[in-house]
Amino acid sequence: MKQRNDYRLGVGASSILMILVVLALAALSLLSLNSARNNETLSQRNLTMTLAYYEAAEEVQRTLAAMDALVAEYPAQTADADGCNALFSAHGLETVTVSEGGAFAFSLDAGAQRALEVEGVLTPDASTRCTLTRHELVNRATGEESSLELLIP
Amino acid sequence: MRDHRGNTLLIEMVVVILFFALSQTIVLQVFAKAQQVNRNAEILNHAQMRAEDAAETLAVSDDAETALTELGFTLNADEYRLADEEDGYRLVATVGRFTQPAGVLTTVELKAYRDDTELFTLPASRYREVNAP
Repeated sequence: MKQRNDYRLGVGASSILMILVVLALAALSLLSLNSARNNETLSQRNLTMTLAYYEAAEEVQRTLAAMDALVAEYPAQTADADGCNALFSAHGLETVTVSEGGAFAFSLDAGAQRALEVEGVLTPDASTRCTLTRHELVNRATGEESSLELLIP
Repeated sequence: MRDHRGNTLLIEMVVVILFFALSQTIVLQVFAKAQQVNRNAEILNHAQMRAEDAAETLAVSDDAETALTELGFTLNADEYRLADEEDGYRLVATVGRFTQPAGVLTTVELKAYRDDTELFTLPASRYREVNAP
């Protein structure tokens, strides 16, 4: 006797298959959209942090310009640390601290708990009045230092 | 009996295909949106990297105009422009100089645009002493 195998699509099978496919595709599309949104958020955060750093770096250059102008204009007053600090404070450079030997330091906020720390030496009588020795981005939260030496004199 | 079952199956298939087409329209829109968001992020990253590259170069160069020209910017009505045809963004650099007796502060404002929308403004500057004894 010959056995006949008759395969037929039952009623409801296509509905079940469609539901599974639609659910899978919907899940994939939502995951894809979520991933893209996360990428976008990360890019924006990265941009914000980068801009904050470059704004701080620009402020460093402006501060150095203001310091250099004062050192060039008042070489006698800037010869000692006290005179230098008083002069800088009088001209709106309160963040800059000068110690003995002409060493100066100041720190600027670079956003996201980071600070751009700058150190250098003032030499009013030398050909280079202002020499940078440190230009570093420091993480205030952890205390870790990430070297970003942009200006090496 | 057999015809009745065939009709039911046919109606079910039609309903399934219609519903599937409808749901796929929505799913494809979500995929397209995800691709667009990813593309925007990618373009922003590229523009940011290009602007950072320019800012780092300007921070160590004595002549901002020459540095910008070497980076591929072209002078156009007092502005230096760099267009990326592939990604569709452009960078516009404006050079400013503040001269004082002790030195010159060169500032460059790098603006990134996509179409007419400004993406960001990145400042770059360098102070150089002059007239030192």
